[in-house]
Amino acid sequence: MSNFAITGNVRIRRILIRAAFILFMLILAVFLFFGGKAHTLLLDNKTIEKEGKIYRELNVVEVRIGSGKEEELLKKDRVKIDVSGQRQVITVTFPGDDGNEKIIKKTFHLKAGVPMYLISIPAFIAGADGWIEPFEPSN
Amino acid sequence: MKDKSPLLEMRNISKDFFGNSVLKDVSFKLEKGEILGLVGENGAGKTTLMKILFGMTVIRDTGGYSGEIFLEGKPVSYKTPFEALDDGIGMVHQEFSLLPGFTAAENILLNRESTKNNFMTELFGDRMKNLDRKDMRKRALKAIGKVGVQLHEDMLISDMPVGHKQFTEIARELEKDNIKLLVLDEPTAVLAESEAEILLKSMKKLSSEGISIIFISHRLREIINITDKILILRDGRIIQEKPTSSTNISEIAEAMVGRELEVSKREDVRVFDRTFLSVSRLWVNMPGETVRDVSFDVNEGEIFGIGGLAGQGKLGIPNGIMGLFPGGGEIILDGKKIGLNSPRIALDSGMAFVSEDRRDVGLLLDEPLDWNISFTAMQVQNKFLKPIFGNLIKWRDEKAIQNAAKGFIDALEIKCTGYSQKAQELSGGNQQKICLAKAFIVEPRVLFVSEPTRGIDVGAKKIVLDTLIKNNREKGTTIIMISSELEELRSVCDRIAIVDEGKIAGILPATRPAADFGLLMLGTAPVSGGAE
Amino acid sequence: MLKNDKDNVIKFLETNLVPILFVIIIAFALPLSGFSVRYLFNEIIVRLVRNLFLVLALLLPIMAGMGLNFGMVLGAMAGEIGLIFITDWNITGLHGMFLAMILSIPLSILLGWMCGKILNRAKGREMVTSYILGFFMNGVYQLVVLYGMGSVIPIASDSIVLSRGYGIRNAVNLTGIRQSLDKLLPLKIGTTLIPVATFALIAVLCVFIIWFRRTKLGQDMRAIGQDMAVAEASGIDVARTRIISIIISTVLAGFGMVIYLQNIGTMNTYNSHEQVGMFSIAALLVGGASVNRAKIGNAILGVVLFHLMFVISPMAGKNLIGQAQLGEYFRVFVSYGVISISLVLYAIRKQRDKARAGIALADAQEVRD
Ligand SMILES: Nc1ncnc2c1ncn2[C@@H]1O[C@H](COP(=O)(O)OP(=O)(O)OP(=O)(O)O)[C@@H](O)[C@H]1O
Ligand SMILES: [Mg+2]
Repeated sequence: MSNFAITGNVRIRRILIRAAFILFMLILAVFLFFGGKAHTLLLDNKTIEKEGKIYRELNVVEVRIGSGKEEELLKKDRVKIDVSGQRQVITVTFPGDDGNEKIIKKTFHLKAGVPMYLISIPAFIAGADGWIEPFEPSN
Repeated sequence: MKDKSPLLEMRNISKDFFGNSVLKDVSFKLEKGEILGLVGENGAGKTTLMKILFGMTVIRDTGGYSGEIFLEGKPVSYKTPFEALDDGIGMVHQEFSLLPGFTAAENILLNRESTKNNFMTELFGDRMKNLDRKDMRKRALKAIGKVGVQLHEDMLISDMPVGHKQFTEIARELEKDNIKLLVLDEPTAVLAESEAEILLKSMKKLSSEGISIIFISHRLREIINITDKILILRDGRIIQEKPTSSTNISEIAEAMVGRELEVSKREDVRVFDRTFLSVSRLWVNMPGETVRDVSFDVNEGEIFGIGGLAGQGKLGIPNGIMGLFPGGGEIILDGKKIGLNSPRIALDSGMAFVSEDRRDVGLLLDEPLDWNISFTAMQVQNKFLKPIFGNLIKWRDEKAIQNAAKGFIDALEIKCTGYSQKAQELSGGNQQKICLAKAFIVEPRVLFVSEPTRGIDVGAKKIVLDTLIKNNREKGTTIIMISSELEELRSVCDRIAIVDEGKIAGILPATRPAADFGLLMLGTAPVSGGAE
Repeated sequence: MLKNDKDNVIKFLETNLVPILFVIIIAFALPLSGFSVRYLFNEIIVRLVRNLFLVLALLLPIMAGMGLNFGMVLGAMAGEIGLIFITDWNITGLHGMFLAMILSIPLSILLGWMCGKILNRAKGREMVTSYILGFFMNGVYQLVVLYGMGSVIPIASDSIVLSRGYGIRNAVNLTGIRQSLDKLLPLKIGTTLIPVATFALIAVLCVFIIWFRRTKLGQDMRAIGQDMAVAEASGIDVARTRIISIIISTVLAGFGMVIYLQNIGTMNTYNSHEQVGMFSIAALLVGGASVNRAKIGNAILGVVLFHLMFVISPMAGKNLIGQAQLGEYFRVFVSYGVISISLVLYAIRKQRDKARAGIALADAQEVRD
């Protein structure tokens, strides 16, 4: 009762702190939402044509998403990988033209509203724009 | 002083409980630092008057009151006790309001605990503050110091003798630092004389510090000794208002009761030939009233008194024999050994006990009087039960219960509207009479009564004592009466034992002069009593 | 002296009747079941991880004198609704789990507040009331989840919506968050995996409870638990405090439910919460708690004893009479049995206390210890 007289200053400070806390919770929720959002990535090693250009499949290529398992894709392989979070790193290892191994590493962002993406490895290696595209599974 | 308005003025206060008028046009004034004695018979309306002042919700729930109250000249009318508290009025009620599982310190500081901030308070508010136990202990000790007693701040209320509970409650009021007016409703009724002495002393000190006190008591000597002014209520009216210096005990007593008090003459000491109850080497571990080594015999049909100073162990004896506190030793009743430490065994063997701690236990406050009176007898002895279908179902015999209740209401002059009134609605002294009736109705072979006249007005005291004697003479009940009032013991008992330091200092016939008993109380032990 | 000891022993037996009974039954059934110590140890760890948080959620209302909070199923429902959403949104891992907890908070607070309000109108009959309230809210929950979700409340994922287009399926797969907390900090002892992170979270709750008891609010709850009238007279806002205790309990139950289901990995949309309420309360009682007194130790002991019993009883049943499916019936039977016994014992004790008050004697003794 009376022993808990709250002066105006304290009251305002408390309101601010509480508001900040609720805001923090909301931000945390948003962070958790985007950070934990699961996406399916289809890694594809097939010859494709994009905007009139042809990207040739590789004989063998190793792909890794984030710190996940290294996937070895042979010709015409397609591998499904589940990831969570929007920011992802792709690492592709393949034999270059000079016979030496080449590594390309790239950071990319996924959209929260898109559950599935198709990643074309040949296009990726060639540095084409459309190497990653949303994918609609046709049931 | 006089040119200023008084601290408190109550003007033309009237109150009725659904047509039953209990206060009629009561007016009085109280100056700062003054001690006002409020006296009157049981049911005269003393407690009700104070409840009105303190804004107790019962008053509003039962239709409010009429009249005006002024505090320091300002008109006030409290809707809740909290408003009264905020204005610096504290009240110690006739009933305890303590939490048995909390310590003295926790109770004294209930809802006024010392707290420390922590990070959670910013988020979830002040109630997330941590308790500051150290500071609480300090504050509690300070408040206990104001009362002037030795009281362990870490002791649980449930472990306390009744006097300590009372002190805890008073300390709770004194802990409030804005206190201007303290209302004490029969604070000394549960205290032994030496304890009361301490309380009176600290009341004097408080009044010299400028705190006004309204003091209700049935012990007129206390009233005379301590108050500045005395207000006498009879049937809800002020009969007399006089400065203490111009009146005396017998004048007050007569004004209270409205007739002259007759002095009872005691009979000669009777002679008995058969030992009925034999107690040997009894010890009882009752906090504050430890019994160390007590042996005595009580004869069949005798009234045996036990007296002594507070804290010496006289209260421990019945509490131990009835199994309320752990103890050891040998109890032989009518040739049969009685087990200790079990109230049930004690009850079943035909012993009954009216405890000194009546205010805390004893009555089912929400139940009617007849029920309260007959309950024990029904539980323990299957009295008032009519068997139906052989013995399969037992039915309460309402008619018999009501008749018995009526009998006691008449015999003990219990002031009530009838046997179906709730115990709660009775005045404190009348509740106490119900407790006695409950014990009588069991018709025990041995009846222990502890402090039977506490909280009973001067006129009714005689009724209570006479009822004890009547029971003893007519029913042959062996009675063991424990009291701190020697005169009371001497007027009804056959023999009196004086307890000192947990042992019997001596047993004398009641006809011996009072001085002999006084010597027993003082002679073998210093008058410490844990009090001075 | 001797007599006193005997009284104490009787008192001890009386207050610990249920745990003692369970220890005895387990002592008999354990050898019959033929399980290895390692297996049982493993099981106990799993059960503690799953259930302890939920059981601990019951402690505060008991402290505030409101008895066993059957209303905890409301919190469990809130937790489930949080889980339905994160599953729909496809939020995985720890992120998903914590998001489900956060989502459950506002719902738990709302439900807890409502429950507390209602219980304040039913003082002295809190347990029955909260039990019925749980039933009633179960109906509301079913209405919302079975008809509202997918129609009014947007739910996109086909995997959790019934084929008719609205309503959540009977079983929701929680693979996305399955054991995400348990596996965060795994510690292997022998063959047993100790989920350190989950235990850490439970430990945090225990510390919170202990700390909470020492706050002003905790003190107020203890006061109310002892005597509402006295607490009220001292100015404590009894109604509000009781509501707060129920809200905290409900929120914690919501968290507990999320932890429980992340361990199991699938959610029984329409039954999980009912079971959880009953089993948690039974477990607490088995641990020696009573309607007005419960400690953290009771919760731990209760979970161990109660679930150990269920782990071994089917096997013991099979080995004894060749029937294993008795186990499930047995489980429900025992849960209800334990709850009924405890409530009856409580009622008897209360009655006896009242009788004692009437006898004016023994009550003093009862209060004393
Ligand atoms: N809640 C109530 N409902 C009905 N009557 C009541 C209620 N409270 C008190 N009374 C009646 O009012 C009268 C005055 O009671 P009150 O408690 O003021 O007496 P008192 O002077 O304090 O007596 P005592 O010395 O015995 O304490 C009594 O007759 C009592 O029965
Ligand atoms: Mg009174």
